[in-house]
Amino acid sequence: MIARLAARTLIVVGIAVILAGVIAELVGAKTSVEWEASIDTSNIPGAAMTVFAFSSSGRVEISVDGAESIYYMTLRGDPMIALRQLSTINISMVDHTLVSDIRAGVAYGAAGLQTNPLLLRTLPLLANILPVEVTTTQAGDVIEVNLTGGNGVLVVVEPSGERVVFHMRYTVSGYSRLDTYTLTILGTITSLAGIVAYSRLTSTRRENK
Amino acid sequence: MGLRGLAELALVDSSDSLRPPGFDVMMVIIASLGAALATMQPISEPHVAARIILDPTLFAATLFLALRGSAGVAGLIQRGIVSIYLSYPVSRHSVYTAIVVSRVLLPAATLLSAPLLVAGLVLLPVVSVNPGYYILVFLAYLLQASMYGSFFLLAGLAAKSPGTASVVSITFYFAYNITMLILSAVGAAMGSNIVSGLADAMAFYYMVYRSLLGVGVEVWQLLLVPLLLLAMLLAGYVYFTRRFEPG
Repeated sequence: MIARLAARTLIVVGIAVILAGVIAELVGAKTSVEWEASIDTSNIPGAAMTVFAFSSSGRVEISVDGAESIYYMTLRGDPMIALRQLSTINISMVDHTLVSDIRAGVAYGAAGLQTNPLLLRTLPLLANILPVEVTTTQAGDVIEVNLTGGNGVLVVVEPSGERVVFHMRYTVSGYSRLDTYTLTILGTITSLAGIVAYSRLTSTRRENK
Repeated sequence: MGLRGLAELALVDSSDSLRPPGFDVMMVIIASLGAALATMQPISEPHVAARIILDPTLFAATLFLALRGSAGVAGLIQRGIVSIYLSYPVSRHSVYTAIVVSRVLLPAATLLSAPLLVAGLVLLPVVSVNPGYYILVFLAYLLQASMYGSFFLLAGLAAKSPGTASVVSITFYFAYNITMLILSAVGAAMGSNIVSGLADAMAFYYMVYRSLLGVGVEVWQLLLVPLLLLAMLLAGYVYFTRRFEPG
């Protein structure tokens, strides 16, 4: 019984490994992604951008045009939790865009922030009430953060004009898989081994009967 | 005879619970799904890979356990097969243990491991860096599935009707998950860490995953689901050995 179950599992695994090779050729993973978002800040005192690596690890580079001051914080877990925490201190999101790029294993988004302008300036003090470390950087600097799976970065900007533009580049690191040729060979061998084992086991049972 | 009888009975019952083609079709589908998820994303850490592959698999495995574990056992009782099991020269606790193995542990372990094997082969360079984390996440999902399966088994033994058993089992599964969602929403609305923590603790695999990410997890959160599993197994054991009547 156990031997037959193992043989059936081998057949299934072999078929799925061959299929993995086909899927990898058609819609395989991407190792870099670039994105740009423009937020109209004529009526709001701030803008924010978040990048969350949900399945990949990599390096994110964010530059911001139209910023007077920039604060950023790296987060473990879902950055939406941090955004919800911001709402508890009366900073809420307006006009938000969220993109989930499954092929790069990363989600990113930008939003306008509706709040009292003075509150944004107190963000560096946020570390005293939330479990995050807030870093202040100069306008024009490129923010570079290494993200691992399940971690994210949240950038909050105080605008200098009527528009803030975020430029984001994310480069995947540490990713590697078997190539399609190896997967095809491996899948074929595995499923053939399963078929041979299963037919031998079932024919033995018939002979015994 | 004890341990050998138990193993033989578990094998006999497994030939029904894991019978083709239903089980094989399900394995092909979830293994293919695992293959797609493993190749479409640039996953670079073993525990992240395991979670991404096993999240949808847990749902499929749970539904399978509700059908073959719960309704399957109720069908065995109706057809008089459990009476035959009880007539073997093995104790009632051996029969119960054999049914737990063949109706809960073996199907859950096989269904959860098939897509994980595929992903492990596809992402061999990533998984081989830390296979321990990969296996740890698998065991966490297996424990969660076993907790669901133990309740389903109890429902099947008590209901003795396949229809009722599957309805009760699927209702329990949805109620459990909806309670988790409600507690999470209430915890966020009230700003209560205990309520949110309770919602998180109901998903053991999530607690294990979070601790591997380095996010703080409290001990009671890691104990909730294992204790539920023990309570379900114990309730099933007491019911089957003391009160269960196959007729």
